[in-house]
Amino acid sequence: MDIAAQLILNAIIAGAIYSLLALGFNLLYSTARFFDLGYGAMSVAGAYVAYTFYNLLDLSVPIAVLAGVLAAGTLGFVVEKLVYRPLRARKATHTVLLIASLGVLIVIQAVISIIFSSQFKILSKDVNLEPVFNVFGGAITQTQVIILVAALLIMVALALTLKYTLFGKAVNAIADDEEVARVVGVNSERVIGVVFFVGSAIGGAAGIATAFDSGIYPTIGLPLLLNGVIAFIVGGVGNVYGAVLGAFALAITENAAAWFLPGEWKFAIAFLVLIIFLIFRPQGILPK
Amino acid sequence: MNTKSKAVVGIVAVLLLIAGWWILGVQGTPEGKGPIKIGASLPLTGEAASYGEMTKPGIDLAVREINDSGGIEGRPIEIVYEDDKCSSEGGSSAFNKLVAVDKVAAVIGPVCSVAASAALPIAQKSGVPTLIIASAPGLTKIGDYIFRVYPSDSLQGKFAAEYVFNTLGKHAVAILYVKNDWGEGLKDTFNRRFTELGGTVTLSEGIVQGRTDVRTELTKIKASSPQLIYIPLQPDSGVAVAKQAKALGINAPLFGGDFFDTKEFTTPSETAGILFTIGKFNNPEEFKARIKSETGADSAILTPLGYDALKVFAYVIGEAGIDPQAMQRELSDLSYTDGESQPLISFDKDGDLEAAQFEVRVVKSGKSEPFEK
Repeated sequence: MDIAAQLILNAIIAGAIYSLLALGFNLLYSTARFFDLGYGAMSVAGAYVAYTFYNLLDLSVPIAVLAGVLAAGTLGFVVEKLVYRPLRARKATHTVLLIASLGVLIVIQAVISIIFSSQFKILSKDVNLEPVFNVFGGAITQTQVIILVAALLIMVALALTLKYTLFGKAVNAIADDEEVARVVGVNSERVIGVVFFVGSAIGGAAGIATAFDSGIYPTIGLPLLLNGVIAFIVGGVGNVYGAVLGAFALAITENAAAWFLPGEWKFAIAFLVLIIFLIFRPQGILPK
Repeated sequence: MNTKSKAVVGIVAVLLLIAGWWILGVQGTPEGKGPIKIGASLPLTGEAASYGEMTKPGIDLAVREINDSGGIEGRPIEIVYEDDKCSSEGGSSAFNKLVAVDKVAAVIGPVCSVAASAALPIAQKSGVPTLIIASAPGLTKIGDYIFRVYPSDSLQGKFAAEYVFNTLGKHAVAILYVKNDWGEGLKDTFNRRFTELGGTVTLSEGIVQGRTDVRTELTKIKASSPQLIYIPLQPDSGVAVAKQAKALGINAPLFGGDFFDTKEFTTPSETAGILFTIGKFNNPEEFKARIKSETGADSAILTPLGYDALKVFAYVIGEAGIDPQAMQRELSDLSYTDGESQPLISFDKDGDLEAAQFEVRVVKSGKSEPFEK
């Protein structure tokens, strides 16, 4: 029994981080309409800024997390302004934007390696003091509980914002049809700028969560991004709840499969899930 | 593309070819004149960078001593460092550059087995005598130009199995290893010796290099109730395992391999108390003082090895010249007793150290120290 409980907990923790990744990516994709690989780098940048504030400058956790999230958001905003916007203005195709975003990913990772070295870093001070909770015989640490709660809060806040605020309506309008949105008076460039800030900030939160939970290195951006993308596709493009559901579906499948298969198959399982969904249910887990 | 831009591209291409030919042509050292070039392929960045940082001061000191006393038959030694990043791509590009561009007479390194397995075929094919510090069992079998100044993991895995079974008295262990040349080598030799002794391996799980979420593997391991978990992992996964095992309430002690002797692993508080095996070498006080005053660095476990590796090459070149075949023969018959790291450096028919010793160390207050049970 306690093994099953632990496996479910493991899946929930992984699912919470995947959810954050998928939510941010979902937001960017539904407005900017291209596969922004640079998103992976925002997660890593956020995590390293939090690391700087927490481990190097010895500031408190909330300040470090806030700094990391804001830095990731700002970086996303700036990259959008400097790289993607000029390309969009030039009517660049999605392929061009995709390749530009790959460039963004590589450049940011390289800069992080230069500043912080490519060594593995962990965002924690003394694990022996950290409370561990017992849930039906499985163990979950305080950090993991916080990550889980934060992920759920961000999901709810995002869903509410998109549904009830003017900004949310503008995002939805752009997601439906950017040109029509512009015709009816939505300032799409401004909205996309804000979306990049918010989406990248959520990505940064995911990176920081990973750093607290298991540790980071400069090139972890791509694996993070891929998990987010798979959850996003499984959940259904453009669907906030779907992204979270997809994230948990992915995490549960991975952890359940790892129980029967050696752990080295984990990534292969994730991509198998992706392929199955792309072929048999491209609209995602939820009915349209 | 119009004719004009085609012409420009053509001219640029020709210029690049000429530049490449010029660089290659100039950099090659003609026999008999100028400095003797020796290459060193070390991890200078990345998670294994501390191994490179440990080895370098030893090599630097040896070079300085040799050149200050007039070089080898009047020719100074010039050392060319390449960063192999402890990766297979890094290893092969480092060796390609050292062998083809710098035309070195000999190479020290790699320290990482992953880099070595990609790089050593290049050294063997080009006939460049190479002294490696990497430890995966199969590496010296790549060819007769490969010699190793560090004990092979086939001995380390065996030593770890005997220590766990006899000294620690743990007879049921689980293994969690990194899936690369080094981790699989240790897993295989540990497994073989441990079952030979009558122990049981409750579960053996491999994870890919760089994985840091190991909760599911640890949950499986916990369910198999081992008395100890053998973790030949690299520092990143090692720290994650230490942390997650604690969170999962696993009380079985963790026992690692020689990758754990780096500050990446020993600094985080969660790794305190973890034991690991590592090659045992001398690091005399007098040598430490010399390293400190000449290079400013602290002499760590691999520093005397780097020093000895360079001194061995200097000795071999002094005896045999820089003809690769003569150097290879000299190394095969070597019996070097002036080393700092060990009393005798001599190689068996595979090119492995004939006398190899290990010790068990423990992580304590951010550092590692010899462990006494």
